[in-house]
Amino acid sequence: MDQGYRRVRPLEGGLEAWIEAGGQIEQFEVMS
Amino acid sequence: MEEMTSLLTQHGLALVFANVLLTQAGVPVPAIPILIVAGAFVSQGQIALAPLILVSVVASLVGDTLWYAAGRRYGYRILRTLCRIAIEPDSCVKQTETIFERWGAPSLMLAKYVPGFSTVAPPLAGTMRLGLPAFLAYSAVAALLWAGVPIALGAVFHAEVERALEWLGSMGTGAVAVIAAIVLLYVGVKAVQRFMLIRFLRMARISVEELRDLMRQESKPLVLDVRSAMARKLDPRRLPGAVAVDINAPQAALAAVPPDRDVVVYCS
Repeated sequence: MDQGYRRVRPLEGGLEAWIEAGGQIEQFEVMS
Repeated sequence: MEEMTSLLTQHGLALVFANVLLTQAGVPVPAIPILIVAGAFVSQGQIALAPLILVSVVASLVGDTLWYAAGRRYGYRILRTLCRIAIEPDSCVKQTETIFERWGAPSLMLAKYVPGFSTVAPPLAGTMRLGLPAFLAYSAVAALLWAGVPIALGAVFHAEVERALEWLGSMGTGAVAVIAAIVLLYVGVKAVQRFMLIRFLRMARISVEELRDLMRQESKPLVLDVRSAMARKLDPRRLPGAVAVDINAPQAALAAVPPDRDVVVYCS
């Protein structure tokens, strides 16, 4: 994920960890 | 070693069943050696071929179906737990998902030959809501191929297998202990390497708490959802403001973003 000098970091535990920690969520629009 | 050979002659089918079931259930024990030896026994008339194949396929199906059911029930959580055994949970989930997405249910037939994919494929099929009859059909073909090849090899090279068993028997318990020590040393070295790599990868990641703090600041990070389209369809939830991006072409999403802005990605 290295984008030169841009700082790109993966989220530890992904979406699940965010939800488990009580983080706010949104929904994607219905996809085909 | 002689005791082992006679044990296999007397309880061959039960031993093969137990070994294959343990392997397919995820226990890190190899099943191929016992299948090769059983194949050699078939050519000597000590084990019947049809029951051997049947027992191998049924044991494999039982193990796979347990994981499939777990995938149906627990979804991505079970995948992530399994992938924790691998070095990178996110990339593991992503990689297996891509294989399944590209090849569909038939990928199950070759899953047992792809390192890392074999254990993850059945729960992934459950997560992806593949129907049970299709799952069982593909898994049965997979099990037949997977068990059939070593059994056939054992039958063809039965003389060599017999010689190898005799040679191992002549080495005595001391030699077996040396082999066990070498295997343990190998596993130990691999475990240390894995630990070091995971520690390094953790340093490069952002924790949920860090991201929360960052989101409260004025210069909010750009959050990219790089899960596959299928994963987003199955679970449409996202982090606030997250942008759906194809992991293979993130340039479009990043083009208009200032280089000093933090970018956070999640792929599972």
